[in-house]
Parts: sequence; structure tokens; C-alpha cells
Amino acid sequence: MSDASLMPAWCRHDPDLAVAKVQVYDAPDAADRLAAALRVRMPTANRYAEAGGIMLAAIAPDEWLLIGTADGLAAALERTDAALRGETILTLDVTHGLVALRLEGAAGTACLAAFTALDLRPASTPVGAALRTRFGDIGVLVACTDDAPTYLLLADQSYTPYLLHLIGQSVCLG
Amino acid sequence: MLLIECPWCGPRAESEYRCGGESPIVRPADPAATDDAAWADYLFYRDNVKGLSFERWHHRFGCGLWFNIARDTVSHRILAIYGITDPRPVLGPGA
Amino acid sequence: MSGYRLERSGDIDRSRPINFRWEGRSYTGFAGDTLASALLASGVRMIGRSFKYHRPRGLIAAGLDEPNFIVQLERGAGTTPNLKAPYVELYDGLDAAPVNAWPSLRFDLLAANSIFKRFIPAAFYYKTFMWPTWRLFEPLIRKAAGLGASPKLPDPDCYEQTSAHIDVLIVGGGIAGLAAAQHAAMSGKSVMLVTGGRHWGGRLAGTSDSVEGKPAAVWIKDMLRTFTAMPNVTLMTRTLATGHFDHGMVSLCERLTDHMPIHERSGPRQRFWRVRADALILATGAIERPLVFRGNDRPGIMLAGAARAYLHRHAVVAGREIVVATTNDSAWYAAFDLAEAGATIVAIIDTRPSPSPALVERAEALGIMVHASMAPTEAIGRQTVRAVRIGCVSSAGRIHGATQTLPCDLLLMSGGWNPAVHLHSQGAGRLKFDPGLSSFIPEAESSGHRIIGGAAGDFARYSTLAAAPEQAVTRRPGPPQAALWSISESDVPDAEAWVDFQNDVTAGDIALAARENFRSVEHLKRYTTLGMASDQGKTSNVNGIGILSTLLAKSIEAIGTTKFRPPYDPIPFGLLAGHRIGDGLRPRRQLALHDWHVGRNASFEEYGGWMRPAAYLRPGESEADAVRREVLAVRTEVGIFEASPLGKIEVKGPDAAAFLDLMYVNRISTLKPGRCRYAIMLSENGTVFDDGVVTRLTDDHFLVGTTSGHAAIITEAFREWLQCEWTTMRVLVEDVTTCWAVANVVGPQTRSVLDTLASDIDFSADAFAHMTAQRGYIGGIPARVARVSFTGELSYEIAVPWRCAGALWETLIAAGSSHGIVPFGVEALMTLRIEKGFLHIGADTDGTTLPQDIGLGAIMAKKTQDFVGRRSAHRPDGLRGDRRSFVGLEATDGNAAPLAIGAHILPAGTTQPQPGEGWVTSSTWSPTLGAPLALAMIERGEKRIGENVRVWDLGAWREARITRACRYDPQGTRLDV
Repeated sequence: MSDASLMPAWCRHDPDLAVAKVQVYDAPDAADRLAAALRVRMPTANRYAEAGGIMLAAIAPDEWLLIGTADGLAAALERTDAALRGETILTLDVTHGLVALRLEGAAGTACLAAFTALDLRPASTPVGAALRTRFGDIGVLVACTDDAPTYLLLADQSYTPYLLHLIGQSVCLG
Repeated sequence: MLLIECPWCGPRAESEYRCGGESPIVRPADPAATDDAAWADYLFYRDNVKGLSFERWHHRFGCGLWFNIARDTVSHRILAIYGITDPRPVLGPGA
Repeated sequence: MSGYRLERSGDIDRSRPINFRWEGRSYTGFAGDTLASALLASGVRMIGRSFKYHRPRGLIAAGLDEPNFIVQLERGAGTTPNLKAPYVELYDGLDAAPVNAWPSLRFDLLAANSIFKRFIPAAFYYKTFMWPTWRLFEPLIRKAAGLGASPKLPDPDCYEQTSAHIDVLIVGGGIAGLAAAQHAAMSGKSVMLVTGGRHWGGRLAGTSDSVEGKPAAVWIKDMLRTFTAMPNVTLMTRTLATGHFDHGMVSLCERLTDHMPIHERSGPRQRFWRVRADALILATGAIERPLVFRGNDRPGIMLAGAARAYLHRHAVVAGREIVVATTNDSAWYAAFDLAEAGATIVAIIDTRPSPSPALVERAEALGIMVHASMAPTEAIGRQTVRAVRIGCVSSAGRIHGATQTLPCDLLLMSGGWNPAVHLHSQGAGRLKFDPGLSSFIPEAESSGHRIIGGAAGDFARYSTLAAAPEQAVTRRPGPPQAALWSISESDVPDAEAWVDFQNDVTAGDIALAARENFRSVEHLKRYTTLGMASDQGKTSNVNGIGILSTLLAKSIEAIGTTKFRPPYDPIPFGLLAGHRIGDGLRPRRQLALHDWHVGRNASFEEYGGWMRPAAYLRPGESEADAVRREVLAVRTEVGIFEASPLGKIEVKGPDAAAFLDLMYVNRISTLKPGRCRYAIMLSENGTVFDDGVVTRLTDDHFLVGTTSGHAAIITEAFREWLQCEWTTMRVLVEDVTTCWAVANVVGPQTRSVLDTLASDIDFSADAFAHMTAQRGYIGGIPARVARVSFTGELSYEIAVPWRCAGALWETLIAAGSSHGIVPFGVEALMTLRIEKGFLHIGADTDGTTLPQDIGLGAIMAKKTQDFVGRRSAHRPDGLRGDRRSFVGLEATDGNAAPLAIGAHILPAGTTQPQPGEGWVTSSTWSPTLGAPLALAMIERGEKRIGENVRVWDLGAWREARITRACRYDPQGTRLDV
């Protein structure tokens, strides 16, 4: 990303992250089959489960994101397609459509507090949360990946300059 | 700024949602056989309630779910949240 | 005779003097002063001119309730109008000026208004200045009206916003708030305690009272010390709670740098907080009421509690010969404190017949005369009070018998205390009138928050402290306060007795409103402007309601209050804008090849939220030159265009075809795999909503194209229909627009370029028919290719994963260099499509355009099943024969200038503007045809091909003829290759 140099120290670009979107039409046991195929326990609403470098995030009814490395993701998608054969599914690699940022520490939290309306207290957004919300005026995915805290922020990559413009303005309130 | 409890996501700020207006609005099953007055009613006529309003909301910046809310338009109290295809709940005066 | 500073005491730092300017003159104060306290200490009396009558005015209060001391702070871009001086913290170099006096406070020319007072009472502008027309007087009146001056330059400061979710929010830093915060924090909950000013302790910090056996100042310090050991408590000063919104959200305005010298400021000036607390406690205190009597607005007449606050907080005594007039006990303590500081208290005038013997005894011990059952009836003096006339007063405020005159240079008044119920009421809390207090107090159980202390009408310290740990508010002890809403020597409300100081509303104005039948409290407010100034009637609303209730002989409960609205005190627009300025105003999107376009000197415009090249300017070229060159290059050789913003939506499922049949005018289910169809989508209201090319990948898998910038909206529309209406259709939808970047290679030489590529795709005419799609690899990059044309020339749209766009583009540029491949921008594309008569949604169509207007009547007739918008398109209005239809227009007047977009179409021979028959929707200079071309929507246009018309725009006439929309290659032979 050409404007990576504009980012503050607590915000890092993750260029190697690969992401896929899986939608299933109304197959009640799809969730379990998906989890079994990926060898994770089934995540509840707006949570992710992780195994072998793949995060499985339940971000909406019958919608999941698979997040990991490019190689790991390709394999995971193969297992997903096999596990859900016969169902109406739409599996798409959306890596190229997204930009991935990691926000760290108190400054990262302050940034999310400045541009989202989320309740960031651990009771509402714990480690393991993966949820869609509004950041400024765009839709994003926020996942809390450790208790530093570290947040993974996924957004439509065509909005990268706008996203960096907002992030560059937020001040550490911690 | 309402605080709306999405059935999937839990409580979130109103800025994540879009209000879809009165609910349900029933699309006539056979539009070709529907007369102009009934079709106009479907397109344009909406209740404008002071008090208990039944409306649908879209969690636009969240999970994308459409669902229904029973809301008091005077106090903004949310009295019920129910599925998009569920019937309007019966809410007594004590609600 | 005026205010002075004591040698000792006060919460100021005498080792840090501060220089500042007022009305162009230099003054000195100390760190800890406000603009008001520093000028009071300097003996300045007259600090303003009233809004309407330009009467001399002085300071009356010590907080945001101040109605008179309104200032313009600083100059130039950073000037701020209408700040309340008691709320302006003094800083080095501060420069302030009055807002409503010219050329100066002493010699204010507009004071002449006072002479005309009889003719300009409340609402005069509804009745006077009407002939010959109000418009004659309006500019003058508007110029004379208003207070401060708006800045003429953009706000140079930046502002932040943030949100917070906490366990307990407590608003108000007085003893109630401090005690509640300590109690809440002991349980380990996250607590936020905010106060609007700089100091802690609220009203009690301005007194010598004791709390739990300690002097107030000591009790406050001790409390603050306990908080330092509690990391779960956040204390914020200079943070005003400005509003209470739905479901308990409270807004805060945190002032970060307003108190600092300008050259020391950096970063955001203020921060806006949206706070959601699991529990909200309001400890917002109470506001003192003035007394309403003739001349009560003279400089040197102050609220007793304010004078006491200036004494204790700033060591300022506001006058030397002091008379205190009151209806309640609190002003007595102000008198005692001032006497003990060395001031001369001439007398205490109490409206009650029997004030407490303990108070009377203490007054006599201090040598203060006491007059019971008496009230002030007139203040004497002009630019400063010189004396007050007092008399015996009945419980209804009627002065009777002889009066006596007491000389004084400071008159302190107290008509009682009103709980500050603003945030409570904004939060849907109800009020009830308490006769003991003669004020409105909150109904405790009427809302989800708690309200304690003075704000709840609880003025006793012990019950306030008892209430802090979440117990019920107990009734306050002490005798009831009789309210005297106004004091007069006659039965008629006095037109020289001020109720709302800032908006210059008198008791006489209220009587006028009642006489003219504006008898509801909301009408009273609008008719007289009582309570509508920047202080929102903090010192005037309740008195006004009381006066109205007396006039109408109606109970105060029946009259009620006006609606409380945020913000509690004015806030800057910039604070609400936050980051939504400049580049943060709207999210803008960038193309995959953005840097390459920049490198080729593209001139960028924003199209549908995307920054796109309008044209690529070569040295010496204007944009019009570049567009002409690009158009000709595409028609004769080959061009390349980035089409990435065109929407791409994956639609998949066994019912996908049937679903798309419902979404589009055109039949989609008959499309064969590998083939593309141009399709139009309507809104349910029948109007043309979007267009695009739909590609069928397999039986149950489609790629839907939308107009650039519309993809997200169409995706949402599809999902809304599937979730809400057609809930059993098995269809899945995903927007993949920014996963795929698109290079569009266009022109007669296109194949010569594409055939040189290392690709498994056969681009030849036999292998790749028009309106079909294939997939394969180009230079090792996976690609989806469609043969689709928006220009009428041979055209391939090549989609690759977004991050591979750069590699693909370089490959295409290199492959095309020997054919002089030309990058072209949106403007050239628009010219090319206008030459072909292809419509552009939103330009050629608007919210009234139905499909039959753009030639889709036959397609609609052939499709028998229902689709969105079909029924609406067949409403009576849709079946009219004289509807506008989409046609072309050529200029016939030999003028090469393109017709103006939006120009009106009128019949040939028209000489005067009259209702038109349509308008120009698109227009360009066509280098291909060497003529200006336009597209238009004209009544019965398709039946009038060849007819001459006239075109009118902003006073200029053009001549034109109606043509078919397509002016270039109508047979489509250019695509038959």
C-alpha cells in the first residue's frame, strides 16, 4: 500500500492475510459440518474459532468468513466445499477486495472508540469477537484477537485512503 | 440515538441501522389483478402513529439482518423485537 | 462605587498574574479567574448593552445562567461569538469585546432604540414595519438584531468525537455528584464524573458552609484525594453534559484548549463524547431566580448566590454598599459572608413576614438592618444602581403604602432556586410543581436515571449525602419559600420589570401576550421570545411561567414548562462535524490503477464516490482537447479505460434465474450460460433504477453488473427482497465489485492488441461473439472477459483480481503501444455513448422515468410474469400518450456549442418562455460527427422524429431538430466483427 508510511506505530498493515466468504442457504446442520471440516468448535454469533491458522468467524446468519494465510485458506476452502456438497452455497475468495489492518493497545481501542459506536468493554467485545460494524461512514469487520488488546480491522480496500485518513486523526485517549 | 437490540448482534447504536418504515407492508399476491387504489395503498399509504408503531429495521452496517420492532414513537421505548416474517405481537396497555 | 479584590483567599493564584484586553483596554487578573471575575475585580460595571433596547447591563450570575455578560472572544478566523463571561477562563493575551454596542459600551448609538421602546415591544415585527412592504425594513432590522458576529473565515480548529460505554455516569461535580461517585466507585464499577466548569464542589464551593463537619473547601479536597486511589474513577472538568438522548445516551462537550493561551494550544480544541452508561445519575444542581421589579436590570444588581461565589472562588467583593433583597434564607448567608469580608451590608429586605430568628439575630450582630414583609419596587440609577426603593409587599407581589429609598451600589437579589432539570426532562423525565420550593422538581420514578441533590429539589446537605448511595430522595427540611413572580406598585405587570434579560422581555410583554391570546406556555415563548436566548431562559423561564399563571388565574401545573432541548449551552458546529470535514466528509474510493492514472496526468473528478480520470491531459492540452483526442483514438485505433467501479454482484442458487426475472424488466432466465444481456431494473414505483449487463455463468450462477457506484445499493436491494418478501427463494448474493479490477480495451484495433497476449482465450470473432463471456488466463493472471460495448466499437472488458490489475494493465499498455493505445477517461466515454444514443441512468433518467419512456414498452409487453415495478409502470399516468420519451437532438442553428444540459424544449416558433415539453439530458461535442449532439426527454418525442423545436436556457434561444437517439452506426456494423 503506497500510503503505508502514513500509519501511526500502533496500526500495522497485514498484506498477507487471505479471506474467504462462505454463505449457505438454510441448511440447519451446515454450521456443524463447516466446523467439523475445519476442525474447530462452532463459533457463536459474532465470534470466531481458530485452529491450524484458520479463523472461522460467524458474522451473520448463515454467513462466515474464513481468515488465514493464502495456502491455508485454499486448503480450507476445498474442505469446506466438500463438507457442504449438495447444499446451496456461495464460496468466494474475497482477499483482493479487502485491506487488513491490526490496531494495537490503548491507542487502537481509542481509535475504535472514536470512529465506531461499539461497546468495547470486554464483556461486550471480548477476545474472540468478530463482528461487522460502522467505522466512520464505511462498513468494516472488527475482530479482537488478544487482550493487549489487538484488533483486526477488515475493510473494502478501495476505501483505504479514507480509512487511513481517519486513523491518522485519532489521538490516544487511553 | 436509539439503542437497538439486533436479534443476531445484540444492542447496537442506531447509526448502524436503517429504518425500513411500517411493517408489514404486504405486497399484493397478484399485482396484475390489483386495482390502482389498492396498489397505491401498497406503494404510498403508511400509518403515522403517535404511540405504538410497528416497523422494520435493517442492521445495515452490522450483520445485514432485517427484523421488526414495536416502538412507541413518543417515548421511543422499544416494546418488542421480532422476526421479519413473524406476525405483529399483541401488546397490552401495560407494555 | 464598584467591585474590588480582597488581599487574601479565593481559589486563585496571585503569583500568576494574567494580562488580557477588554473593549480594547488592558487589564490584569490572576490564574483561576474567569473573564467575569477579573473584570468584576477591576471595578468594571457596565459590561453589555441589552439585545433590543440597548440598555446598560451588568454581570448578574457566576455560571452558564449569565444572561448579560455576553462576549465576542478573539478576532479573525478564531473569533467566537456569544460566550458567557463567567464561563471564559482567563488566559494570557485573551482579547474580548462586547457584542451588542457600537462604537462602544459607553457611547452606544443604538441605545437610541430605548427611546422607541413603546413601539417595539414583543412581537412588534408581526404588526409594524408592514407598509409598504416588510422587505424594506427587514435588512435594517436584521442588521441591528442579533448579538455577536459570525466569523467570516472557516473555523481553524479541529474537533474530535468519541464514544464511551461505562458502568456509571454522574453529571455534576457538586457535593451530590462527588458523594455519588465515591459510593459507586467503591463497588469497583467504572465511574465517570463530569463537571462543566474548572472547579469541583459546585454551588458549595462558592460558600463558607460546612459539610460533614468540615468547611466546604476542605471536604471537597478530601473527596478528590480519595479518588486518586481509585483507578476505576475518571474525573473530568471542563466537560459539560450537553444533552440526554434516547435510551440513556448522554452527550458531553469536553473543552481541551479553550483555557490556554492561543500560542500554547495544539491538537483538537474540543472533544464530543457520546456516552452510554449502565446507570446515569444527574446531580446538576439548581439555578437561582432573579426578582422581577422595575429597573431590575440595572448594572450592579446581581444574584445573591453569584456574589457569594465570586467572594469565595475569586476573592472579589462586587460592591461596597450592599442591599440584599430575598424571599428565602440563602441570600442571608451571602450577606453574612460579605459582611465578614469587610463589605457594608446596608440592609436585608425579606418578603417573608417572619424570617428565622437565628438569621435575624446574626444579622443584628453584624450591624445589618432587617426589613421583613418588604420587597424592592424600583432600582434607581442608569449606568449603575445608586439606590433601591422598597415597600411593604403582599403575598401576591403588590407593593402598598409609602416606600423608602436605600442608597446602595450593589443590590443582591434572590427569588428562590430552580432545580436544573434540563437533562432529566430531555431524558423523558416528568416534572411536578412543588409549592414548597415554588419550582418544578423531577418526578423521581418517571425515568430510568437517578437525580439527586439540588437538581431533585433537595437542598439539605445531609439528605443529599444520604441519597448518594442509591437511597430514595428524602423531603428537604426548612420552611416553604413563597414565590413572588413579580413585584409592582400597580395591578398592571410592569413594562420596565425585566424577566428575560438576554432577550429583553419584560413583565409587560408577558401581559401583552396574554392579552393577545397567546396563553399557552409554548406560545408565550415564541410570541415574546422569553427563554429563547443563548441562556435558554435559565434565569427567566420559571418567573415567566409564574407571571402568566397569575395573569390567567391558572395553576402553574396547568401551564407547565416548554420543552427542554439540547444542547444545554451552545456548542461549536465543528464539534458536531468532528472528522466529517475535508477528506473525511464522505468516503471516497480509489481505482486499482490510481497511481498510474496520476502518472499520466489524469484530471480527476469524483463520480459516484469514485475518484476517476475525466481525461488524460497531454502537455498543452485543455480537457476539451484531450476528450476530443481520446474519442477519435477509440473510434479509429484502440483505447484503454479502467472500468473497475462497475458493480459486480454474484447471484447463485437454484432460484437465481427466477429471482432475477423478478428484479429486471428483461427476461433473465432465458439467458444461456456464457452469454450476456443488457438489463434494466425498476424500483417498485416503476421508475428506472439501474441498468447493467447480466452474465450467466452456469445454470444457477449469475454475475450481475450495475452502474458504477451502485453495487452496494443493488446488493442491499436484492437481499431486502430475499429476506422480507421472497423468503423461500433459494438465492445467495455477494458484492464482489472491489475483488475484480477491470480494464476495458476498445476500438477497431482491439483484437490486434489482444491477440498478442499470452492467453488461452481466443478473442477472434468466431470464438468470442458479442455479448458473451469467457474465463481463462492472461499472462498467468486469472481473468473473466466479456465482450460488451458501451461505445459502439469492438470492446472487451477484462476483469482480474484487483491486486493483479497493475500487471495486467502494464501488459496491455505494452501490447498496445505499437497501435498507439490511448488511455481515455470518463468524459470521452460519455461522448462516445452519447454518439450511440446509449442512456445513462441518472443523467437521461430521473425519478419519473418509466421503462416505456426509454423504449422498453415492447419488452414489457412480451414478458408476462410479474417483476418489480411492472404494475406501477402501468398506472394511468404511465399509460398517457403524451409522456416524454428518450430521443436525440441536433442543433440546426450552425452554432457549434453543445446545447446546455437541462435546457428546455419548446415548439418551433415559440418566442416567450412557457411550459416546456421536455429538456436536454445529455450533451457533448462529437468529434466523430463534427457537430454538437444531445439527448433529451421530449413529450411524444419518438413520434416527432425530424420535427424542429426551439431550445431555451437562461435567456438564450437555440434551434434544434429531434432525431433518433443513436447518431453513429445505427446498424451496429462496427460490432459485427
